Amino acid sequence: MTPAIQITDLRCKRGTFLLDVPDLKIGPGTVVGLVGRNGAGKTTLLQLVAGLTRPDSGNIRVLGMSPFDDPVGVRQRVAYMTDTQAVLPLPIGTMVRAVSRFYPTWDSELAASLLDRFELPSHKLPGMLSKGEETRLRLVLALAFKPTVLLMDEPATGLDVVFRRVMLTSVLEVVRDPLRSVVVSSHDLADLERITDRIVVLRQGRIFADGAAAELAGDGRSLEQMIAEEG
Amino acid sequence: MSAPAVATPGFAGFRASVGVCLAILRRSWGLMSLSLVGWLVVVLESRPAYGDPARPPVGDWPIEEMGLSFCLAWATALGLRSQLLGPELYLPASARTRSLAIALVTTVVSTCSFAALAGLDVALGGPGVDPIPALLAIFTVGVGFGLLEVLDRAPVWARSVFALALTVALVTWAMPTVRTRTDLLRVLPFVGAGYIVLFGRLPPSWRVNFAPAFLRLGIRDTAFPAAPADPIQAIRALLAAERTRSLAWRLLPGAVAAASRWPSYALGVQHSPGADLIVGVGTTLFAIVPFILPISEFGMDAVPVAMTLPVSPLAVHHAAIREAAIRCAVQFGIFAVFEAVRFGIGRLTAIPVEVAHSITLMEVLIVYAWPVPMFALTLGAAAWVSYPSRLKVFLAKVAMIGVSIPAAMTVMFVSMPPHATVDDLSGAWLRVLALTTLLGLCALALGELRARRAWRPYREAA
Repeated sequence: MTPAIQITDLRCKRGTFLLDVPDLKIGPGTVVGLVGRNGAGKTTLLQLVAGLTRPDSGNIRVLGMSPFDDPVGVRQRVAYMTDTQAVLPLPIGTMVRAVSRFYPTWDSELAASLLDRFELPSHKLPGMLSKGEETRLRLVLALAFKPTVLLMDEPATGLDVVFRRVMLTSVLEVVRDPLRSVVVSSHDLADLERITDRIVVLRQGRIFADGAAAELAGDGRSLEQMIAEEG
Repeated sequence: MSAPAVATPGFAGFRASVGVCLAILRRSWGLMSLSLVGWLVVVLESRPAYGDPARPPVGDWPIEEMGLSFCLAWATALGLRSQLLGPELYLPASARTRSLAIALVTTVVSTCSFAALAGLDVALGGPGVDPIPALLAIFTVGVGFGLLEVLDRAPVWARSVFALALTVALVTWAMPTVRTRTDLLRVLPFVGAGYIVLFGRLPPSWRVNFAPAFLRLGIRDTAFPAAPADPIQAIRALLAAERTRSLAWRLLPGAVAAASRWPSYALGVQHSPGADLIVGVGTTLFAIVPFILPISEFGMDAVPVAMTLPVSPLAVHHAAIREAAIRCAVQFGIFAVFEAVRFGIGRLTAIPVEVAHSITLMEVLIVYAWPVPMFALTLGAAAWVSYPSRLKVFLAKVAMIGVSIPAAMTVMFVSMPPHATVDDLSGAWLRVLALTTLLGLCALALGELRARRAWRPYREAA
């Protein structure tokens, strides 16, 4: 079966920072957590997979396609959500309808249900939204077209306890379909341990550890202790 | 009021530099551009004084001093407030107490900074700063700022009324006597202050709420293609919908400005203060809003969002440039109609054409001189910001505000004789047009070259 994401010999230099990933494969139906300290390369890696930034060398395949050679094909199947992503200055309902036209797989019923679940009124403008509401809106836009691969960079920013739980539930609903995968970058290790099948620890642009949360922690250490110690 | 004091050019420039630094600290584009303009005004106005004993006494300095003081006090106050009261949200006090505390600290800080600057001026051998305008400016800033803080929690209508009233008051103060370049110098700081009051302090949602009816008219589902989308068509529709909303901003204040002229035409009055006032406010809105918004909303929001949608980045880039070009054309079209109507009135009525066609320097500056670099640089910036990079967006904004306004002002002031009339402006305007168009084309070419290099693989793949 085609891997959801396959990276080989990836090198991407940004100033003095170098992201170097010789090999990373993420299969369908898995939830992978990306962890590491600030500047470890989590966001860069997600942007590369989403095709938003180009590597200096190496090969990235998402669902068997190159995000650079076939950006439209990849983006119709891959959702990329960050806590800083811009949203259109349109009322929420209008924006959701506008964005829906770009995705053949958009599910209007799911979108309506997500708006309802995340308590987002369709008449509100992005400028009037709180940080948490903006995050919820980005989640709706990312989930409503039923992406085959969901890339999330700090998805819980600004969310309170209740909405964080709703977000996690929504993510788990995505991977009920065995063909769909999720990659989440987060500093909230408790959440990641709860929902991920596998955690990739990045350290100064390289993969430091890769495995199930329980395996990685081991030796009586928590995942948090491990990341703190590695710095 | 005490005898007019003439600020030494060096010291005035120093003060303006302080304002610029503080404005940068505050990270406020409006303040920064205003301070830069203030600095430019001082330097250029002072320039002819060197070695020219025949130059008339600068009897207008007090009002300029006041305007400049106002702006710099505002920049000083905001900058220092930002540094001193950054964590204001964490102050353990009620909203009212917090607001009063901020107003008080702002006033005290402004007073102290001005006292220090005045002392420095004397110490450097300058004549000192006229204390009355400075104090009045500080008072205005302190009280105004305090009110704005209080009004931050007030209903939208109250905040809007206050902001408009303050701007109207400022423009009224300066407008009626605008005839020559010296007059123009007086107006600039007030226009800038009005801009800050209206746009620098208001949250973005206000600006959007200003024309909700146009918004509803402009954005309809029918504007978008049916799914599955043709990506190019979809991105164009998306940007076009945004353009419609932006156009609402152009039409509304423009209509107010145009309508305000009719009574004065009907009465045969060339420059009634009331009409000039409304025209001033209207044209200010007319000119400022469209040229701030296209890049801030269209460039900052639509393009980065589009870059994450399933659309070819190159298509987004070209759609962005096309959209910017359409906006420029539409804006010029609106101006053309505006002028044609004005000129037509003179032909069709008993009012002399010269009267009907007369335009204030204010209008020339704001409606014609400023938009041109904005047009040109918007095109360049659109090419630039179509990268999903915050740094590029930042650079585009720097180019737009930091380059275009001072460039336009420099050309205008250098081109005009010291006591220019309206007629003198046409030549200056042409120079502005030529220079800024050139600048814009360079920016556009640079953006296009970079885009082509960055997106060569996409193009080859296509």
